[in-house]
Amino acid sequence: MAEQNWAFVAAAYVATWIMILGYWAHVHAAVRRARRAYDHATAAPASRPGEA
Amino acid sequence: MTDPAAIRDLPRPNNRRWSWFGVFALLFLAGAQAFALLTSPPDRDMGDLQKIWYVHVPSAWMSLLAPGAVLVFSLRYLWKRREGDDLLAASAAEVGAVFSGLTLVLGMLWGRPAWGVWWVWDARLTSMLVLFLILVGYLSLRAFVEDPERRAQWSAAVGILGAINAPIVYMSVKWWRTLHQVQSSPSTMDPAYVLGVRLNAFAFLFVMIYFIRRRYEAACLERAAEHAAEAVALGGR
Repeated sequence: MAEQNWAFVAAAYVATWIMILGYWAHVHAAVRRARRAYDHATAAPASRPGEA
Repeated sequence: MTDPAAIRDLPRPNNRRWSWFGVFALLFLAGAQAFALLTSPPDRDMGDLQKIWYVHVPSAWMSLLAPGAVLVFSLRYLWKRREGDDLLAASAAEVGAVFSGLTLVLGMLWGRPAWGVWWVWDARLTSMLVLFLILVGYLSLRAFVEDPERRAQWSAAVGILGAINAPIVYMSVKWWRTLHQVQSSPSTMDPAYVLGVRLNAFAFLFVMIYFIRRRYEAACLERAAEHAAEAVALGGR
């Protein structure tokens, strides 16, 4: 019974870290994607041919 | 017509202070968990299963705090019409959905050995599930409405209505006869476990603040990119 309980405790901590590190990676990817989009959008006027 | 608040609110690039805060939050969480796991004695009735408290209880508290943040930012958006508040509310809602989902999973991992079932439709579990679904619904609404102003107004209304469920979740164990025990707080638990729960609650709070801040940064950049694209399109006509 005690060993079974430890399996549930371990599963709870593993689930917590998977969620936290998974969401961490998701948020950082979102920031990187958004920064690329922002850099692209703000750089667009200068890179368009025929515009001053 | 959108106002350029997102550009004004744009977090400074390469904000190292927040990156360090994120590292601190993770290390604090690891340290708090290690402290709680290593120093707390097994519970008389539940044995080592009690150690799930250190993740389940703080996660549940964050699930209730996040809708509070959504409420505050939504009200402030409706009052001041500042786009940054709408983005903060959306960021808090997303993080709240993550924590309420985690709370449900951890609750099931607790319920199976403690109660013999993974799930039971009691008031606490059901109201937490409803809270999770409201937050997911809030995020779905934002994904489907394209006009930023209408999206902000509608989601503020849903955010305010959804936040009403948070106190219902909290009080559910008092208002109804439930399988779930009464609210876990320092006054309802053995003193041997209080410090561990407090440290882990602060650790979860730091992680939640970091997540909301980072998500807000991404949302600001997305909006600023949209504003810049709009400006280019209008200038190019």
